[in-house]
Amino acid sequence: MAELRIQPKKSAPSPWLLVALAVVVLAAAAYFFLRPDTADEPAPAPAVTSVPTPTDSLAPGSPAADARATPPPSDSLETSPPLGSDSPARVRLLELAPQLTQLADRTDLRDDATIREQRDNFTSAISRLEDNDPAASLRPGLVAAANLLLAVQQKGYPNLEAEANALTLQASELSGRDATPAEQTCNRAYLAQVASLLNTLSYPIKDVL
Amino acid sequence: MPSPILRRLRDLPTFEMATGDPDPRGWAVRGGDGQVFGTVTELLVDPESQRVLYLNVELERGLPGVPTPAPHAETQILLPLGAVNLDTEGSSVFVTALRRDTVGSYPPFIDFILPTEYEEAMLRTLKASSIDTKP
Repeated sequence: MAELRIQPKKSAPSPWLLVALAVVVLAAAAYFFLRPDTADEPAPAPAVTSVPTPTDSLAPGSPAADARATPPPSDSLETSPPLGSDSPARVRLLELAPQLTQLADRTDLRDDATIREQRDNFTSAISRLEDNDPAASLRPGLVAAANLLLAVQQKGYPNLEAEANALTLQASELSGRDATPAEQTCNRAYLAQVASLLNTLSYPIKDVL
Repeated sequence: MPSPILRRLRDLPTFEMATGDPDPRGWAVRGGDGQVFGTVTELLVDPESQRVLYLNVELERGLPGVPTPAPHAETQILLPLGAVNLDTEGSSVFVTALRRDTVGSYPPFIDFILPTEYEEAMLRTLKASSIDTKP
């Protein structure tokens, strides 16, 4: 014997709530698609030592002229100091580069648009380092490596989400310099994490639990 | 016990089928022999008890013993929910007490009025005195 029941309809959400939700979703989508990609950030401009000072009407000896004559402290400059070719982080990153590109070129991964894009970002950043570009910063390469590993993780390694996200966060906190012992320690720790995750991701998807 | 006030579900915009209960509108109605003889077009419900009491069924044309309805009209019957079995997987309603060749003796539902005699006629045809159609 069948039995069917009816119930009062649940009140529909306010249309204004739906409109607000749609606006939030659109804003998030716009942010996601329009934000500047950290791996694509341009190389820092060369030091501005030879920029000619335009003539102006400041009287010599005036406080304003004195202020201009005083160079800003070196740590306020946004540019990173040039990396030496013997920078340990640079050397290690260049060592890892072939393995990273090899991973991105794996048959089951290379057709993914995101992985392809992140691979291009990474190779672009690495080529600047390989060219010994004096203005090249380490940061684009470090960040691009993390983004590439994140894209690979999102393609087929759902269980490694925490590790990939932590690596991306770690990359975003790097200065891009490798001069002081503290910076070298940070870079070394970061690159060790990259190598570890890279090693795990090198196994076939079915083998990684 | 007072008779329930029946309403068509489509006339109750503030009600819907309970969560988890199927909506049999549009389902085929099959007799005891498994043959289709109609389609559920509407549900008659008691808003007070929030239960479906009858299925409004539109009979197929050309059934034996069923007078041909006027053009653009359909022959309709009411089936007490207690007299049917629902097959949710097959989207069918089974009425073991009726068949294509016996549905002609079932009282047609002509107007949206449900006199006591009509209910008695329904039950008599279904030979289902044991079936409780009351909510």
